[in-house]
This record gives sequence, structure tokens and C-alpha cells, in this order.
Amino acid sequence: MAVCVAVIGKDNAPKYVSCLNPNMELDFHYKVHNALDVVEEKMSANGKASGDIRELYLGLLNSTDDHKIFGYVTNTKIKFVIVTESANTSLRDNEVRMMFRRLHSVYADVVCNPFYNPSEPISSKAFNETVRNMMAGNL
Amino acid sequence: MNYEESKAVITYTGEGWNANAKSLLEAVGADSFEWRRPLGRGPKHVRVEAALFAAAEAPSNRPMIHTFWSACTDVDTWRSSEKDRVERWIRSIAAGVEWLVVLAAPKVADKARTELKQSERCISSRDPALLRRVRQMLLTAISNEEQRLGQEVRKERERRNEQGWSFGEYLALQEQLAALLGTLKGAEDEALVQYDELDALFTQFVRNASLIGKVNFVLRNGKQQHLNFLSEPPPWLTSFSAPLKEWRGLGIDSNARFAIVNSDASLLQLRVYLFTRQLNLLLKMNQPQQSQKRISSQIAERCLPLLQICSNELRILEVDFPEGAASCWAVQVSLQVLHVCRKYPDQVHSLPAATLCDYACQKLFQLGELLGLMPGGQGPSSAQIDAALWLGAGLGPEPPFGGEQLKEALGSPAAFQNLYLELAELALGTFKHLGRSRSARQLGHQLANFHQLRGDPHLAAAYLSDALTAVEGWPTLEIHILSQLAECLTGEKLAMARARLAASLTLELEVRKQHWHQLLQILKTLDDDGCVMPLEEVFDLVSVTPISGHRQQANVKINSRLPEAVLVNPSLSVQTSLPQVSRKESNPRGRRLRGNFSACLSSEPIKIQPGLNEFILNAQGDLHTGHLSQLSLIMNDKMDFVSAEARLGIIEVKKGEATISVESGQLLARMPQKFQLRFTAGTDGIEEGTEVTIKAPRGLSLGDGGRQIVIELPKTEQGQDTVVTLEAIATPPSAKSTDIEYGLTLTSSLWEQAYPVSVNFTVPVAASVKLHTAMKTKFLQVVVSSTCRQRLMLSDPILELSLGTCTPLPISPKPLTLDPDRPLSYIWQLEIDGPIRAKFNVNLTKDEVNGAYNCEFELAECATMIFVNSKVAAASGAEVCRANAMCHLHLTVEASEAIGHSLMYELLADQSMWAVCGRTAGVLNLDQPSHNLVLEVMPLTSGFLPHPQVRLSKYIPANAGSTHPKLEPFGPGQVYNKSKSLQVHVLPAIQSS
Repeated sequence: MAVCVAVIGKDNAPKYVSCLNPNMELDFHYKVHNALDVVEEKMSANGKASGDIRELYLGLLNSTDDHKIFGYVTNTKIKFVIVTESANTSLRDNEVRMMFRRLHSVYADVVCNPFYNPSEPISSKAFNETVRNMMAGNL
Repeated sequence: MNYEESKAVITYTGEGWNANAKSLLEAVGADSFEWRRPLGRGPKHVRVEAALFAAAEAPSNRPMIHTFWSACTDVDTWRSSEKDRVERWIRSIAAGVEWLVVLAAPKVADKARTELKQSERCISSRDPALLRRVRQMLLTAISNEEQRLGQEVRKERERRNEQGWSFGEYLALQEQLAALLGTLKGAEDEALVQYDELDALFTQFVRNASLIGKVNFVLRNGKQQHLNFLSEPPPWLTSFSAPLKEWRGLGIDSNARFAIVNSDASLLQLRVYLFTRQLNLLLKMNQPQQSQKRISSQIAERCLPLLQICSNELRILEVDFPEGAASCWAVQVSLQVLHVCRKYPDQVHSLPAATLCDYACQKLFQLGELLGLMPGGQGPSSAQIDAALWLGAGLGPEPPFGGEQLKEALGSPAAFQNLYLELAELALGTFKHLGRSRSARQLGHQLANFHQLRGDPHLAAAYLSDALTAVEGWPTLEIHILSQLAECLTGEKLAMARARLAASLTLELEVRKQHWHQLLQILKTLDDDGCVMPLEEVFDLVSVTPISGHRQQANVKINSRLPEAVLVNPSLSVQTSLPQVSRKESNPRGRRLRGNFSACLSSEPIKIQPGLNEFILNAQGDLHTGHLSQLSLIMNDKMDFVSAEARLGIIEVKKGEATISVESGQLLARMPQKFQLRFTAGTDGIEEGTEVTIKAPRGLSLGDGGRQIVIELPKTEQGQDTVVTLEAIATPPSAKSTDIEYGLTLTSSLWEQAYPVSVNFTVPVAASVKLHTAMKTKFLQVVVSSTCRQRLMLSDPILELSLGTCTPLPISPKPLTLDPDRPLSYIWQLEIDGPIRAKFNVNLTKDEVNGAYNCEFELAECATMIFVNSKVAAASGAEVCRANAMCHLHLTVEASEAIGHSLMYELLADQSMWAVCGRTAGVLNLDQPSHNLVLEVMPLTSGFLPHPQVRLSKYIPANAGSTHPKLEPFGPGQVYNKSKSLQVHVLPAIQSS
């Protein structure tokens, strides 16, 4: 399933990045950061096309020999990025969508916590747990 | 399969065939023609080209029409022999194949049409419709062939999971369809679709093959979609797992096609073949101007997924190949596609081209590392040279689309490096141009590594600095790039980078300490100018709190992120005016500037510990009021951490004057009242025992009753308060005013001039008098009302007269409560004669505080002199008064004593009730004590009517010095009207019958 899940704030700074393989962390940080270019392009294209952005799923952002990077942006401009392995050919677009929707709902839970300051990185255990499950393929 | 081989065929036979006919038919492809297609597909404009063959030589298995060219020009010959020949020819043609008889003369054509009953298929060679007819027939032939092939392709595709099915054979079949469609100029996209389908089908096969090992997983999730073949991949697919022997780039290779059809090709051969076909079709489609951009951008756009899919498929199919071969192939294909893109200037700098370029760079970088072609090394080893030769050989002979640079690059490090730089800079430029800053950052980062290897740290540093700005907000990336940057820098820039690294909390403490010690080493080597660095990169400025006063100070709190304690010289600049913003704009991303520190707060060197620190800075020399602007911490005399210029707070320099404010509630006049004076010390504070003289104006007495007191103030620190309570009684001169402002004047050594303060007092009550008369007896009523909205107790009212006596009417001896809105009255009976002056005094009590209210009234002559009595009675004969009937008003005027002048009386009746008949006024001579008059009045309505009033005035006749007589009114109480407020009962008028 996912090998890296990232939440990026409105200002394009990371709020949460988690990788299946901790040794690859720097590499994934670069990949996710790079994908923001496409996120921005798609967001501005969406904004122009239709006044209101209903479709939050941005689809495939980038692909490399080894990985595919998918994006999702909430109405408050919080971006979710999921990296999957290109070798994982069984993963359907719909499943990626489902992962994003799940992520969005857990993120909403995090933000609803009155003790969470939205400008801070996410350190919620529940959120982390969901992401871990997502990466383990249990969702 | 070649398109030439699948062109439609026109066969010709007959004597009429000649050079003219040939050139006529060759023009078939010159014009486009609408092609209507079945199955709901939209019409297309296509051009059809056809190959001409003599009937005997025509190839089979191709869309075909047959033509018969008759040379017969007269009807008789037609009838005698030619008709039979034509009929024989028609019979020889297989069913379902189109044919056309072309006749040399129009009249023969007419004859043939009627006799053969084939009006559509007989035409004169001079008929302008001939070409159109031929095209239509060709299209019909092609359409039929297309439908037949299409059906076959679909049938074959349905069989794809059956035993014995082979992709190669299927490919050959679908290629026939593609080739057929390719012969129609304008329908290349249809042909492209066939190759796209082949491409997708193959991709799906490989994807399914990759799932074989995941059967259990798929089943557990209950997903059925990929269960087509889960036991074994089809045998034809295993042939693609064969080890790679060559990795040629794009180009059509007939051997390759043969190998593919026979399931003997490598994966790359198949992919290259399919992509080359697609590429050729795309290039052919590039004719109409409007769609040119779209199509040519597809070339680069399609290439990158191909390369990625191949890389993935090589892995899935576990294809064996020499290390670097796949990269080599990818670079080769990229170079070829980029070469093609160069033909379209707008495409070289398109995003797909740049992305492809970027991809090629990555692969090239890998190759360079593998083959020892990167700069800075020892050069390739002999094993690496062998590998490079082997890889170069695998690229095959000269490629058709250019891209020979790769072979060259594999052979020499210099060529390799040039190629790499060329590609990288092209992609970098395009990324920057298109606003893909992060992609540009990634490539720039790689370029920096390259330049560093090349021994050009300056260039590397430039790329890394750019990269650093792009990753703002990403701590891990910032640190990573910064650590690399530190390797490329020297001098002050290196010092700054080391300082930032040492202050990076995401790094481990040990690593930060290393950077810190390196920083200390570097500082020793720096020249005396040192370097200026933004404060916030190492310290967080938590707060700056100005302490204004005699000694200007500021309390500074900063948080140090450094791993160890550091000794710094702190200073905080004070500026009377802030610098203009434009300075910041002109210096957007670069160096922090040290502002003007000529006026500043500073202190001895202090030790800043890691974490939160707090210290106080003192003014050096005389300062003016100004903004605290910049904090500077200088370390080792070399490194200056300067905060951004901002308004950190105002430091005020005051020549220490104390200020006073009055604090009190509503102060009541005529009662002892207390109020507070609040002294707020200035910058100098207030010394112990400072004397303050307070002078009150007239009407206000302070303390014990004097108008001046002296108080001593206790010691008061700057900014602190001292409160002094004063007692005062206000005695306003006039009873009329209710609010009075008194100005106090304070003099002391605290101020250069007298300090004015004002205090407001309110008069608590107001009194008014009323005189009441009963015959000769007089009463005085004093009404006391509250004006201060507070409850007061009143006691001991006293009225003093200047003449005569007064007796109070008995009231309760207890104090009376005076509420706002509820006045109190006191009444005295007066024994007076002539005008007098009365003084009223009453004691006030409020909250145990006693005061007094007094006021004076003047009363004019008020002894009763004249009594008036009037009575309305019915006229003689009648017993009661009736409306509209005459009545008599009996008026009696008596004087209590002789008065020396005449009286004038006037009857004042309400004209809606009374009509005065006869006299209304007259003059009486009061030489006798009493007068009786009868006046005639008539009531106008019935009911209890008020008496008509009688007004008496003093009458002064005209003789005494004036030409006109004068009237003077009597004073209050001098005339006593006995019948005042009487009413007369008037009955309704009698109806005259």
C-alpha cells in the first residue's frame, strides 16, 4: 500500500510526514516536496476551471521508476500526499481515493481536538496509528 | 507491415487503358473526401491513395476495385462486340468487389448504362464525376476491409486468455488494421488507436503477470478483477523475460518485427517497436496547424511513461541485462525524442520535454557513477571502460532519430559531462520558466553535486543556495542542503552556515556541537570585519520590554538554540525615526544590515546559555525618546547576530514631572467633603518630605478652614503613585448655581510652575418660598428640594425675619428625610408690617457629616388692604340662574383702611361662558370704606360655572403730571378675594313654547 504519507499545511510546510522505511525518510521528503509543484499547478487549474472546488482528489502528481505520488487538497488548502510503489500494480485509483478520504477524516478529528494548535506539526497518536495501518495495507 | 503494402489497389484492364487514364487515376489521392462510417463514429475527411495494377498482376488480400477501360467509341461496335466483352468481364469479378466500366465516349456510356442496367458503374472517361466515383468505391472497399479486419481483431482479442494465443500473431493482425487505416490520409489517429490498444493490452498482460505471486492477497481481499490467469503467465509472455542482448533506441527494424510476430523479441524490442510506430503516426498527424501543438507535445508526454513502464516491466518479468543497460536505453530513447522535439521550437521548452530531460539526467547521472565518467574521480577503470564499450555496442548501429551523443558520451568523460550539463541546464531553465521551482530545486541540487565533484564549489554553492530557498519550511531538507552547502563555502558564509547548523534543533546534539566547534575555528580565521548574520537563525527574540525612566533600560529575553553557552556583547539600538522600508526591498533575500547603533542600550559581555536567557541593557550616555530597533549580539568580536529592524518598543526619556489626578465621587457643597489627589511620580521620582503648597480659591476652605495648606509627600519611586486625602468645604456665593468648579493651585519643587487642578462641587438642595393669605393672616411656605440625587436628612429649620415675628406651624422635631423628587415644606405664620427680608437656614446631614443650607428671600409689602366679594344672583323675579337669562353680579369692595387713591375694577369673564352686558369696568373712589355695585352678566351655558373674575388695580388719574391716567397692580397678598374659586349653579334655559 502506501509507503509514505504526508500532510502539508497551507503555507506548504510539512505538518506530518511518515515513511514505511525510516532510512528513506530524506528521499521521501524530497519527493513529497517536489510534488507540491504539481499540487500548486492543479490547484490553480482547478480554481480557474470551476468557481468552487468540489473534487479534492488531485490524482497522480508525479511518477518515478519506483514510486507514484498522489495528491489531495482540502478546502482549507491542507494537502495530503501519498506515495505508493510503482511495482504495486494492483493498487487501483479508487483505493487511493479511499485512503485519502480516510486520511481526511482522521485529520478532521485531529483538528477538532481543542488542544491541537493548527500551526503545529501533528503528533496525534490516533492519526499516527491510522497512517501506520494505511502503510501496512490494513485499510 | 508497410503502408505501401496495404494501399488500396485499382486494377485496370481493357484497350482503353493508356497514359491519360493512368494520370487520371493517380489524381485520386489529391483531394479529401468525406468518409461516413458505421457504428456511430463521426465522419472524417480523408484522402485515399491507391496503387495501380494490371488486372493480372494485382496482389490479393488488399482492398481493391476493378476497372475496365473500353476503347470503343461508336454505338455499333459496342452493340456488336464490346458489350459481350464487358459482360464477360463483369461475370469474372468475385461477388462483393467493386468494379467500374469506363467508356471512351459519352454516347457509348449512355448506351452501356441502359443496356447493362448498371447506371452507377458505367461512366464516360470524360465525365468529371469519374474521380469522385472512383474515390467512393475505394472508400467502400476500404471500409469493408476495415470492418472485416476489425471483427477479426475483436475475435482474436476475446481469445487472448486461451491456450495457444500469441501476442505476436495478434499484433500482426491488428497492425494490418492499423496499416489499412494508415493509408487514409487524415485518419492516422485511428491507426494510432490500434497501436495504443496493443500497448495497453501488453501492459495489462505484464501487470497481471506481476500479480501471480499475490494470489493469496487478492483472494483475501475478495477482489476478483485480476483472476484471469493466476496460475502461470502465458508462454508467449515468458519469451519477453529472455536476457537482453541489445538495447537499441527508437527505429523500425524489420528483424525486430519478425521476432515480435514469432514471439522471439525482447521486451525492449517490442516497446521500441510500438513506440516508434506511435511516434511515426504522431509525426504524420502533425500537418494541420491548429492541432500541431497538442500532437507534438504528446511525443514527449508519451515518452516518459514508456520509460517508466519499461523499467517496471523489466523488473516484473525479471529480465536479465548488464548493469546500466536499462539506463542506457532510457537515455538513448530520451535523447531521440528530445531530438525530434527540437523540430518544434515551442516544444523544446515545454513541461513534458523538461520532465523527460530531467529523467534523462537522472539516468545519465547513474550511468556516470557506474562507468566512472563523473568528474573529479580517477577516470574510468579498465573494467568500467569495458562495461562502457559493451553498453555502447548494445545501442546498435546508428540510430535513425539522432541521439548519437550517447555513444560518444560513454566513451569519454568530457563528452559525458557536456551532455549531462546540456540536458540539466535545458531542463532547469524550463522548470524555472514554468514556475516549477521545486523541480528546479531538485535538479539544481543534483547539479550542485556534479559541480562539486568537478571542483567548482562556487557554482555548487550557488545552486545549493537556490535550492535552500526553495525548501523553506521543510526543516529536514533545509538541514540536508545546508550541510552540503557548508562543504562548498569558505569564510564568513561558511561561518554563517555552521552557525545555522549548530542552531538546528532537528539535528542531534553531538552533530550540532561539532558544527559549533567548527564555527569557533572558522571565526579565528576571519578578518576583523567579521560577518553579520540574522539573529533569528540562531536565537529567538522572545521579548524586549523597555523600562522608561531616569535610567533608560530594557529587559531582553532571548532563546538560544546554540548547543553551548556563548559570551556575547549585547547592544540594542535606539532610533528616533525608523528607516524606510525601501531598504528592505532592495535587499530582499540577502544580507542582514547592521543599522545605526550610535544611540543604543548595552551592557557588559554576558553569557548566553542554551535555552531562555534574560538580561537588562542600560543606556549609554544621553538618549532621546525613540524606538528600540535592533538587537545585536556580537560573538568573539567577529560574528554579529543582528535582528531585523522593527519597532521593539518605545523608550521614553521624560524630565521627570509628577502628575496629579483628582479622585472623588460627587462632592457636596456646604458640607465637609473628602477627596484624593493622586501624585504620579515622574522619571525622577519624589523625594521624601517634598512639600506641596495647595491654594484654594474664594468659597472653598481646606482642612481646618484656611484657604492654603502645605502637605508633605512620602518617597515615591518613578512611575509609582502617592495618594493624599484632603478635606474641604465649599460655600458657593449664590444659591442659584448647582455645580461649581474650584481651581486648586499646587506649587512645589516638583514643578517649575504652579500646577492647576480643578475640583467640582454640587449644591445639595434648593429652596423656594410661597406666600399664602387668609383674610389678614399671612403664612410663608419654604419648599426644599434635593438637587444632588442623594438622600439627605434635614433638621432644625429656622426662619429669621428682619422685621416682625414668625411662628412655625408645628412639625415633628425629628430630622426629616429629603429624597430626590420629593420636596419638603416648612410653614411659618408671619406677623409683619411692610417689606421684609427673610433668612432661611436648615441643617443637613449626610452619612454622619453635618452641614447647613441657608438662603435669603425678600418679601414686598404684603398686608391685606382690600377685600373683594362678588356674588352672582338671578335677576329680579327669578329664583335661580338660568342660561341665557340675565343675572346680577353683586360686587362688594371694602378697604381695611383708608387708601389715598381710586380703584379701577375690571370684570374678566370667560367669553364662552359669560356675556357681560353693560359695564365691564369702572373706577371707584375709596373715600368710603365699602362699595356695592351691581353688574349685569348672562351665563351662556348651564352647569356649575366659575365666577367671573374681578381685577382691581390702583387708578392714578391723569392730572398728576401725565396726560393719561395710569393703572398700577397691587402687590401679592394686598387684595384678598373672598369669593375666589366660587362657582355659580346655572340651570338650563327655559324652552319658550
